[in-house]
Formats: sequence, structure tokens, C-alpha cells
Amino acid sequence: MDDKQLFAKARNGDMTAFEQLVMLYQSKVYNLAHKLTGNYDDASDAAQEAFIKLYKSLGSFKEQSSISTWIYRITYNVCIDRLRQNKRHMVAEADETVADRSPTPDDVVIANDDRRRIHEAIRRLPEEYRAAVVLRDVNGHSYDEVAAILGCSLGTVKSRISRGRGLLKEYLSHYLEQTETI
Amino acid sequence: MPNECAKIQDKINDYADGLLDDAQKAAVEAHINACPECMNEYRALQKLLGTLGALQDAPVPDDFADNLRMRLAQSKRPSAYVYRHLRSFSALAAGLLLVLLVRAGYYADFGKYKTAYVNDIELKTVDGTPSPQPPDGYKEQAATEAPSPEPAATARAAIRKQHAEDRTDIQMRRIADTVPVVEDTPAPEAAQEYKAFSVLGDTPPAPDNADTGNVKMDSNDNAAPTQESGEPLLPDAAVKRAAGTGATMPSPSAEPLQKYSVSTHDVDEPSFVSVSVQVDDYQAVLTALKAYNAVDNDGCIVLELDGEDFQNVMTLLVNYGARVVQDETATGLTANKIVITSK
Repeated sequence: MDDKQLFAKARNGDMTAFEQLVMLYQSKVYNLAHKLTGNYDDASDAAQEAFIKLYKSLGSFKEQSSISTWIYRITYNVCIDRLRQNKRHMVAEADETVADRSPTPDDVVIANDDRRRIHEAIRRLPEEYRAAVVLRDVNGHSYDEVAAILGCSLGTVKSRISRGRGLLKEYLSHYLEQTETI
Repeated sequence: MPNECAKIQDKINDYADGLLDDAQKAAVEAHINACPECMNEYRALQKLLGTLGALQDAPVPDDFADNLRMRLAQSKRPSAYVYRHLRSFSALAAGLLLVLLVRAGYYADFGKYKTAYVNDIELKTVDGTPSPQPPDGYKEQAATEAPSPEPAATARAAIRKQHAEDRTDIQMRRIADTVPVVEDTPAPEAAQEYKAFSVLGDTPPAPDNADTGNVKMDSNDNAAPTQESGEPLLPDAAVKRAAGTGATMPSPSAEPLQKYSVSTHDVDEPSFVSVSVQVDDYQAVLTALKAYNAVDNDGCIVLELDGEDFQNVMTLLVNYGARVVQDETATGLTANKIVITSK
């Protein structure tokens, strides 16, 4: 059953369908929340809040966008709200356990220290750039999807991604030079 | 950087994303193959994109689904409504209370509660049904079930108190976000009624407006009085304020506590909304809303308002114990609509 069918059932009060919808998206929502908040505990809380908001507004979805876009948009809004409310707190609480919770297959591609460096570099990005880069380059959304999720124009998205990538290249210059020589 | 390099580097992101047409793509390729600096930029970008794309998702915490399920259940049902009672009363009293609630039909309404958002004010709502009120014959039924009338009175008072707390929660949430605060005080009549019961030593029924949000309690006032202690359900400070100062209903002309964006739901696109609201004192609201050309239409006030007026009216209605019984984002509306009736 795809997300549209699940959504239709959930909208009619089928709680099991809603739970299946959660199962379908929880990993993406949780990981998006983590990359945006930079903290696993907050990510868990924000992801749950996003699903609760989704549940409460099932009836108001107008199907002008895809369900996935809508879910990520809610997640983005929840995370940005939290970041803005607790900006200093979030920076102070940014966890240092990135490497501990990531799956082991990732180790094959990126070593723990490097992964930590990458996450930290993402976290250093301004919020707007961070969201655009994560959605595009980590999650693989198209530019149009990123624009829909962030609620801004395609031109703005391109600009944010370009600037975000530029900053990441700067933050990670040492790492990128190292890997270049391998 | 040469001018040509600057132009190419502007296009390198699009090139890496495959967004260029054939001619542009060929031009970029020709340049970077001939320019080591631009080639380095491109390679660094490729490395970066490869690295970001290789980041794998972290596993979702094991307790994620359980926690979400619990939070969803809490958001759907007024569990605090019951649990706060359980904390406040002895197990026996709580058990009796639940029996009475079920017998009186309250429990049937529990699952129907939901939380509505009107301009970010979180309001407890009931789907088209009135809030739990002791039905006719309730007292007799309670008397049959209970060994003495006190537990029945306790149940009613507890229900009313809970409503007062819920309303206070609303007030407190709004206050937390707001610097200027209109001083809300309990209506004097209600407070006097309460006082009379206190003198008689009976368990006092909370004044009717205690469950309307008219009583704005300080956090200290809000400490839950217990049945065991026999303390009044309305905080002393609130009673003193009302009785001693001749406090009145909040002034309808008072400045709104806060301005909100117009949205009844947690959606991202503002749209016109249609809200049905029940209030405690319909006549007072009718008077208060004269400025908005409110007229009585067979026990119903219908207002169509733009965003700012809608915010102001909704804020004002909260002070009159507004309970949203229906809210929806309606299509075909050209303004926000509020339908007001008496509880």
C-alpha cells in the first residue's frame, strides 16, 4: 500500500494506516530532523511532534503537493521553530555521539571521525543553507521538491544550495583535500 | 579570478546537478579541462556531493514508535483530565468519581475530544457536543450510588475545577508569549456565590465562569487544592480579588492579548477559516461585539472578518469562555467566519 492509500485511510480515522504511514516515513523524518537540529534527542522529539502535527492536520491536506513533500515540510517547520526558540540551547547541546548511533555499513564509506566532521560542518551552516543542502545533497530531493518543502522559489533554493555548498567546501577543505589525494 | 572562470564557477553547481543544456554543458567541460583552478573547484564539489550522498540514515530509536503512540494518545484524549484527579484524590474517591462519570455519561465523550488550534491558541474542543455538564437527575443518581452527597459534589466540583485548570492552561500559554497582559478577574457574582457556599461549609461549586477562562490564576494560585484539605477549589487570591475589588468581566474594549496568524490548523498555508464557538455569556458577547456589527440572529451571531479582526475577536472570545465546537478551513469563503452561540 503506498503513501496515498495509507493517507486516505488515515484521514478516515484508520489509526493502523496512520501508523503504517509513520513507519514509512519515520526514518527520513527522524534523520532530516537530526540534520536540521544537530541533536539526536531533539531530532526524536521534533520528529514525533511532526507526526503529531501531521495527524492533527490530516483533514486539511489539500493535495497540492505530494504527501512526502508535505510531511517533510511539516518536519522542517517544526525543526526551524525549535531552533529559533532554543537557538543557544541547541548549539550548546549539539551531541557528540554522532558516530555512535550511525549504522556500521556507513563506516565502509566514511570513517567515524570524518563523519563527525561532516555533521559538524553541516551544523555550522546557517539554517536556510543547511536545510537546502541537506534536502538536496543528503536526501536527494530535486530542486523543485526542495523549493516546495522550504516554501520558497526555485531561484532562492539554487542560491542557498550554492552558498551552502561553498561554505561546506570551506569548512571541509582539509578533509576534501585529503580524500582527493587518496 | 578571470572573468571566464567566474562565469563557469557560477554554473558548476548546475553542471554537477545535470541541469545544463548540451551547449552550456560543453562550454563548462571545455573550460574546466583547460583551467586547473576550475577543475579543482569542480573536483572538490564532486567530492563534497559524494560525501554528503554517502551519509546513511541513523537508525530510529527503538522507543520512537511507542513514544509517538503515547503522545498521540495524549493529544487525542484529555488523559490529564483523569490523571490529575487521580493525583488529587484518594484512590477510593477517584474510583467513585470514575464510576459516577461513566454512569453519568461523561466517559462517552472522552474519545471525542480533540485539540483545535485557532491562531495558535490551543483550545480544547468537543466535536459538536457540549462539554460535560451534570445532566438532569445527576444529583439523584449520584446520591443513589454514593453513601453521602459529598462525593457527588466532589465529582462535580472536580470537573469544574478541571475545566478551570484547562482554561488557565490556555491563559498561561498565551501569557507566556505576551508581554502586555490584560488583568482578568473573576466575575463578582460568581465569586459571591462561591463565598456563600464556603460559609455554609458545603463543598463549593466553582462559579460557572470558573471553567470559562475568566479566572486567570497566578501560578501560585493554581496549586491544586485537595479534597482532603477542604480547601476551596477557587484559589483564595482569586476570591479575594473578586470580592474585594468588585472585579468585573474583562473589558471588551481591552487590547487583545496577542496577535496571531490566522490559521485553525497546523498547516503552512494560511486560508480562510470557519469556526463555531460557544460562549458563557451570550448577551455580554453580543454587546462586546457591537463594534463588529454583531447582531443576534435567533440566538446566533455570525461574523465575517478579515485577519486582524478575526484575531481580535477570537482573543476576546477566549475571555468569555469560548469553546470551539467546530473549526475547519473552508473553501469558498472570502473572509474568516465565526458563528457564536451560547453554551
